[in-house]
Amino acid sequence: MSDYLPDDVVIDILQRLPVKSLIRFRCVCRSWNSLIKTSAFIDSHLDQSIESNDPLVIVRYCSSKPNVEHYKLLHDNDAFVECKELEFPIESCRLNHFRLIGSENGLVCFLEQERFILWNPSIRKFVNLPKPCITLKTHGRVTCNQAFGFDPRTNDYKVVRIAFPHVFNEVLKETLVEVYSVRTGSWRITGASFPHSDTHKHWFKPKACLNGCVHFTALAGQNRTTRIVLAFDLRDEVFHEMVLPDGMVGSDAEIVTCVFKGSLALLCYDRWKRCLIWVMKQYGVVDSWVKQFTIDIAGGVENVLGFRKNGQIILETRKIGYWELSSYNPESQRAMKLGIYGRAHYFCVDTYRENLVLLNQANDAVSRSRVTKKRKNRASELSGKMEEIRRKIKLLKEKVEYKVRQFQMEMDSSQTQLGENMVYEVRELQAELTALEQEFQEVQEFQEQIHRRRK
Amino acid sequence: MANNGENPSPDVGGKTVKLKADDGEIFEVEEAVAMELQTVKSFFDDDGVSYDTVVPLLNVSSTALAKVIQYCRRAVELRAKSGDDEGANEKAREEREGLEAELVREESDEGIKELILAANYLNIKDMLSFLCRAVGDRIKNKSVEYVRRFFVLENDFSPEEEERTRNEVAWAFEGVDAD
Repeated sequence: MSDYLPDDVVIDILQRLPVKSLIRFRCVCRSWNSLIKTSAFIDSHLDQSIESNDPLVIVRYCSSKPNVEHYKLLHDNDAFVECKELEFPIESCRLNHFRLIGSENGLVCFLEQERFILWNPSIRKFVNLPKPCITLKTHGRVTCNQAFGFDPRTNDYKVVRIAFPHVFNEVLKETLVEVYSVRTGSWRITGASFPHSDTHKHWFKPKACLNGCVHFTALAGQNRTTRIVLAFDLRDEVFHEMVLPDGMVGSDAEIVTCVFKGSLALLCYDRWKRCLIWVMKQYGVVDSWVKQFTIDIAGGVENVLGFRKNGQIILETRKIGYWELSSYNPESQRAMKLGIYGRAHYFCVDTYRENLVLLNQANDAVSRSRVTKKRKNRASELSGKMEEIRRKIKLLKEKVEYKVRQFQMEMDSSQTQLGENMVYEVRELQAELTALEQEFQEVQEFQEQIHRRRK
Repeated sequence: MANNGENPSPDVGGKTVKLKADDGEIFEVEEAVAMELQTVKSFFDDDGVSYDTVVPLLNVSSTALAKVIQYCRRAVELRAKSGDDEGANEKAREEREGLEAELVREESDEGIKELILAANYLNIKDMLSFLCRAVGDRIKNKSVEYVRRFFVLENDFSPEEEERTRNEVAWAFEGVDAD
């Protein structure tokens, strides 16, 4: 360790260093290189980092044509100024941005089709996860809800995936839950069951992770109209039902779980164009839900994205032709623009900290799947199919844009309640678009596999 | 009896304890201050050890011991000042941080290392903690070579290995202080 200072003192000093310094000091000598990569050091360095007095926030915003993702770190103090810009290293999807499904302690999880990626900006490293157990090929057509979380009891980061079989799925008849653990480096189908149904909305939004559990929402009861929260324990891999008080959430409200000042919170977007933010003051106590804020979103607020340390709320708001972020002070009821613009529904805001996690992992944990040989014609057949799908997508996109412009004009001119039919139509089109994009992806992947095999 | 100029406060009627540095120099300190040094505290916690016994601190130089005593004295004073009052606590904390900064500001690398060894041997948690933090601040922007010199470490990488790692994480070498 050092011929002069005792080992435990050296370790104490190293644990207080920023990540960039530690990465550089891997070159000092072999023992330091090994030490910095041990799980024990990584875990205790994170604990030190958590105690630091400079809390940070990571902000994601996306632009299109070309598709680019941007990330900034901001100091989570009253000034809320930029700390630095992060470079996004992963080749972005051909048709769309990645879905950011969660971030914990500075580790970010992305999803694209069945491909999951973990990114640690502090050490500038990303890891492709191996293919999940439940895929189109193994279990037939499924739609999935997912969450990313951290369990402090085991110091493990996990991805949870709930696979709902499609109504025409011949292979799978029940909902399955599989979990990826960073510690083991593999997926496993758990014995957990998800006995309720889900609204299929906000599936790509991050879920609240608290007390080692990730929190999903579901529809329960005989008529599937009662809203509940399901906490999935990341260590024990079981669901705990968290019943909500009667009347707290309407069955037609859209709810998203998040964390507010260390407590579980629900964002309820109701039909009166408000977002009610409920906070569970005591975890697990049904009667402790308190309506903390009511935000009027009729004026163009699209989403509530997160909370600052000083209690202000980060909102995604719609302007003409673009969306922007602002910081809303619930006491003064005034919002301040943050000067960050991007595409709707792809903004993300979360707490961030420096972390060494993934340092001791190989970059690519993808296993190559075997592909059966196809005839030469197949390749051109596939290209033809892709062209066709591309054309359909282009047409559909134009249709969607036209509809969106139509209903924006309607809203701007009459200032009345938004035409529900319009909203519904746009949603339908977007769903069609997503399905087509999915199909396109599958065909493209298949084509790539063939090419790789050929080499 | 040499005492480096730091006499016990005249109005302290309590006991004093004698500490002997590695060169034989004796320091007489108030009991409360001496008990900040956990090593000294456990020395007296043993059965049958009288408070008149001189505590031999063979691994601590007199320079280091003088500074340690000075720090602990001030720390005990500051702790006595703080209580339930938020404002007083805040002020005491600020003063304490000022005290710590002053202690390390003038120290050379060798001096700081000596203090760390003393604080470690004497088992003074708070002092060791801020000294480690101070060293961390000192070295965080320094080059790999500087750190090797500071900790007296041999480079046991082969040139190829070292080059490979440096290239992998070239970004971590940007903005490093010149030696």
